[in-house]
Amino acid sequence: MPPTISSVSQSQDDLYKQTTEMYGEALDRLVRAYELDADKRRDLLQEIHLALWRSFEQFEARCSVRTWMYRVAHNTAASYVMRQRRLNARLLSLEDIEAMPDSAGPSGPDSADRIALERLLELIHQLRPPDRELMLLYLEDVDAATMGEIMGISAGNVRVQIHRIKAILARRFHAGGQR
Amino acid sequence: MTTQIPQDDPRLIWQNQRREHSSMTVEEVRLRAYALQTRIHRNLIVTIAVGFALLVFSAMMIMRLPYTPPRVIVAVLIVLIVITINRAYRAFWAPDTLSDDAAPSACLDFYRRELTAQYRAVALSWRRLLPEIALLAVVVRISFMATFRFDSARILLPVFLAITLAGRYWRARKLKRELETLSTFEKEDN
Repeated sequence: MPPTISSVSQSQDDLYKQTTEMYGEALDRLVRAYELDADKRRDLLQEIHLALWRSFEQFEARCSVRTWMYRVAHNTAASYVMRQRRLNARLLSLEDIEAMPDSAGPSGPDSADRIALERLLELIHQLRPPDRELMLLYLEDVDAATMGEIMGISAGNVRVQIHRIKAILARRFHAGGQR
Repeated sequence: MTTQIPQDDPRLIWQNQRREHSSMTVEEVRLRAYALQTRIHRNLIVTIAVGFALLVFSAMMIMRLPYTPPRVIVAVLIVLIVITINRAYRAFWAPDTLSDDAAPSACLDFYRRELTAQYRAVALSWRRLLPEIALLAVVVRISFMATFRFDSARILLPVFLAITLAGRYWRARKLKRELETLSTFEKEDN
């Protein structure tokens, strides 16, 4: 279970502070999945932090802070992707990725973590926003119920998508994603 | 990044990335929010000022234009300008609440709204295109008549319109496909 903040009486600033303390690293990883350029990545992270702080003005504790945080972060990042779309290559769905031949070779014993991470990022950057969000939530170990709540889809749908993600990751990273 | 991550576990690879940036402090966020609000206010003031300048220009055009149809079109333009000024004025005095786009709705709802908004903006409907064509015709007629023979506009205007329409049609088709893909995505269930 994610840590919760009993928040109704807490101020916007306190909520922001506690959320960034708990999920700051997750947000840092999230922006890597949306922007390759380091400078732009910092700008996007700041944009997300600002959106998060402003959003806490409306927070009524109807969902967990973690769900709220992921929704705001993903929505801000998705909006960013759509603004940048003209410059980017065509984005794909999980289905398209499944159908594609695996261009990267299997990782040998001498492969560095960096290469594995680069391959993962390369895969993520090809995805459309909804598929990318699902992939990231899966990589962050978010449970299926919370994923459904964040995405706004049914638990059955989440299971189908997770199955697809696991198959893609297993193909690209050997037995990875089979936990 | 540590050196002992199993390279066949993407979740561990992902979660063990070295942190790049620290979180913003509340003071930094407040400063940024203030800067953003200032920029928005400045843009709204510019919008209102340009709107008033266009209103004066349009009024002068109505007085100078010799025929009724162009006058009617400029009058429609004046109505649009007044609506824009009114919106900018109201936005200027509105309390600083989060915009609908940034509201924390479920990710798929948000994405659908963004796609739909983009689709509507480029959709090829005559309801949207007719006023644009009419305004373009007026602008071309006014500007070209002063400098060139009007015959050149008869060629340039249709070419420009054809390119614009083709571009919008292509973009609208792409967005519609994305909306259909999103619907399929939402319906995928056990």
